[in-house]
Amino acid sequence: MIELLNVQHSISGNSVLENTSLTLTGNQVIALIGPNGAGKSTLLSLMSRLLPLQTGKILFDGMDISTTRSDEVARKMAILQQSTHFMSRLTVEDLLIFSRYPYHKGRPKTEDKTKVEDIIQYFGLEALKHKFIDQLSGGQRQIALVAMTFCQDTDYILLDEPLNNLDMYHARHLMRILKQAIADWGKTIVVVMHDINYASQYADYIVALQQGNVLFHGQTLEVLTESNIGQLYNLDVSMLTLGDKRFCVHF
Amino acid sequence: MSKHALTMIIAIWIVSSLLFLLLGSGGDLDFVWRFRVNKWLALNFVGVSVALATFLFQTVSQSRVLTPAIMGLDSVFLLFNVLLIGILGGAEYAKISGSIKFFLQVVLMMLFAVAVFGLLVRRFSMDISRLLLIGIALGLLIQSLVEFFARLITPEDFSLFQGIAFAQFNRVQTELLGVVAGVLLFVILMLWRIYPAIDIYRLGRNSAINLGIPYIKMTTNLLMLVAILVSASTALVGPIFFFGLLITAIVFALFPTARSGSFMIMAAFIGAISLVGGQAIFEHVLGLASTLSVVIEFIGGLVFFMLLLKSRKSN
Amino acid sequence: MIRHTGLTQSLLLLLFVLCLMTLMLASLFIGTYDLTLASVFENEQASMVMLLSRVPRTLAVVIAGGVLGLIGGLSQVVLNNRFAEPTTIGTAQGVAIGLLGTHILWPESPLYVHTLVASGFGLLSLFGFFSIIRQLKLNDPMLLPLIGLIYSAILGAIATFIAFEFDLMQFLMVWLNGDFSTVISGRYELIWGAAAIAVLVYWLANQLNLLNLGEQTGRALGVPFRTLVFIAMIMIALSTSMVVATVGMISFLGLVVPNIVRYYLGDNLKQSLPWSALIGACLLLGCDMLGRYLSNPFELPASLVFGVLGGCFFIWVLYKGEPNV
Repeated sequence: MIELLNVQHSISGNSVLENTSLTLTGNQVIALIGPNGAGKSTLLSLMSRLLPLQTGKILFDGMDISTTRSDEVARKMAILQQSTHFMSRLTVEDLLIFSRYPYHKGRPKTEDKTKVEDIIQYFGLEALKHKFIDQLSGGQRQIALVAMTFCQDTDYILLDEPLNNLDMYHARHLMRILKQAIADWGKTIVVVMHDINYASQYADYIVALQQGNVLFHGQTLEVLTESNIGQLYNLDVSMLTLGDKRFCVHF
Repeated sequence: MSKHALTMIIAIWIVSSLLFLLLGSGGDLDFVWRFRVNKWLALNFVGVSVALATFLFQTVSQSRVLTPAIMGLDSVFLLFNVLLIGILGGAEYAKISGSIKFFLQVVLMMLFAVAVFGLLVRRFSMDISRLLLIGIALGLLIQSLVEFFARLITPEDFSLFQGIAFAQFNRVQTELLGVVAGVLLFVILMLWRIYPAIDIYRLGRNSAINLGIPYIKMTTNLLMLVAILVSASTALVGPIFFFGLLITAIVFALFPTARSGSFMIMAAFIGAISLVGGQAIFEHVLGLASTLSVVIEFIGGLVFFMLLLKSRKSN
Repeated sequence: MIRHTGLTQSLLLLLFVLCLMTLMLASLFIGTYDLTLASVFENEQASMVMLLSRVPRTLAVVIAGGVLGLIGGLSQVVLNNRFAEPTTIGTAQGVAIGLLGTHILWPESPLYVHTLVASGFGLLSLFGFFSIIRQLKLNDPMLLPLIGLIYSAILGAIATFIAFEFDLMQFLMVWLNGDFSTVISGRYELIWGAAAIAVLVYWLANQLNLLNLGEQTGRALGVPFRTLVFIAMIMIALSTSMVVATVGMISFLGLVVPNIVRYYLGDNLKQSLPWSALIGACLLLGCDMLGRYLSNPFELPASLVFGVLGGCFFIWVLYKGEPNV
């Protein structure tokens, strides 16, 4: 369970995130949606302690991320930001071993190596494991980076717009892996998304932000209505149902 | 990095050391012991310090193109010395034990690095370029103060000051060797403890914090180590600006996939080899004892620009 | 960005000009040799001091401050970066190398030869920096001054090495530290050349404004971009070398002044250049007077006073600036 209590954030006197309190249950995919500048990435950065909290508290299963040691938090929660550029030249396997750092602190043990192998299998990276990150295509790279967050073996995973720059194949592949991981490992995944239809398809729970405020939140099927989405994005939209899938037509 | 590479590097180091120590000495071991061993030690220490300082600084600044010289630490060094010369006069200044001066310098530089950069890192951890720019501006400000005080001292004292303002590899302050050795040992022990964390730090701010690295604390620690290393090399031979760039560039070219631990070992050796071997050639073969520093700095400067052009073209 | 109405701006301009005139008048009477208005007319020696030393010095300071402020503004437009100015991008250091070279190789040649060769070197270093910057698509504006300062340091080191080897350190110190204490009639007239170039820059301000568009937009609109840049660079190099050869380098002036002006007036060169010149002149004169006053009978060089004050200002701006500025 993730608890946000009175979280607020300002940059140079401008409020970017209004006073927010929210409780999110675990073991599901939670999507943060909203228009540009709504505060989604800010919220994610605050939740991942990449941005220091100005007010309030954030707790992951009761663990206060402001007061707990960073390496303990690292075993509880992992984040993948949008732009990740590494100074050193690393292979996929290197990265995965690094992601186990909160456990082995630089001296990898057998269980770390086993975990790395398992993740390589699960994400289908056998062919790529000795390739350098900069040699991979955009889609492969993103899958590898997501694999890295999974290898960190945390209960909570935060992803900031992981589907950017991914083609249809890789985007679907990634979302399906995420859903599978919840079923297999009981993780909780918080994703920032800008594509409403991916959120509609894959998310169990929605948190919608607009200008720093939570406009609405709840189970996907309940809250993703035409009027809610219309209000969020300031557009007229229609919802279509095709079999068991629901689409938002916003063109 | 393979065992093979390590053996090769050590072998080259031994060869260049022998060249430096024995070339032109006519086999007179007493001569060697009295005149060359100290200098050899000093050159090794300087090579190692500069190499490590540059690597750590490039890690903190996330850029392969910068050197710790831009932190303005050498301005602090110059200010300290010009003030001392001015207040005490050249004669008294020369009498002060080198070790005391060195300790004071180290303390001052560390305070400067930590106070200024520690403060700045807190505010600008997400904007390292701005942080470095402020560092440079501060260095320039202190440089102005140095020039101001340099105008106030007598011409003889000014010559004395000028002497220490330039790196001179053939006039090393050998009385500091014991102290510098101790300091280097301390730094190496520290690095031995934290080198796996440095790999994670190099993944970038976000990835490092994600994996539990205390980013601000580690940045401050690394900068402190840089300050210590820079003051060690400056105390022995004077300010050095671009030599470190040369070393890290060579190591990157030879071992592009090296981790921090291997990188630092290689860089340390290559730094030592460049200076020991270089001085052996310049002093014993060419008879140009004082030009090594200039040549090395000049080549380092060229390497800087090549790196700039190369790094961005591939972006 | 505060927009003044035409009337307010003209009034302010008048106010500042009056301020400058007052400062200039005051400056005529500060110095080691005690002068009063009466003594100038009665005492022959006093009037000589006035004519040969005080007046030229005051004029030199005003011109140097005005030229450097104005040229700084131009540099920032040419390089499209608010931190660019001749001392932060290596031009002044290149000029110093040129001056050293002429001193070593043709010491007897007339002043204009020295200046031309120095300008040539300044132009080369400016051109070199410009080419480097164009190759590196810099997404972070902080990187330009960073690279510029290292570039300047390298050139400065070369200059220092040459000076050291040929025992010309005294000269180099003079060129690298703007000092007006040696200005006397007959030895400073070159700086009027710099003033003439500054006037030329203002005359061309409307055309030079087009540089603000950036190369792609400018080209699309049919602007002779490369030609404009080249002309601008020649003017920067020439005026810098004239100032450096006469009175020496003054760091940060071309950085601080145009940024202050830009904050209030934006990037329209026709509007901002006269202000940059005016404020540059006032500030430098103020610093020079301060330097004379503070350590009477010795003198603190104006560049040092400005270097300390301007440096503090620069650091303050960097520290307080918006993170994404």
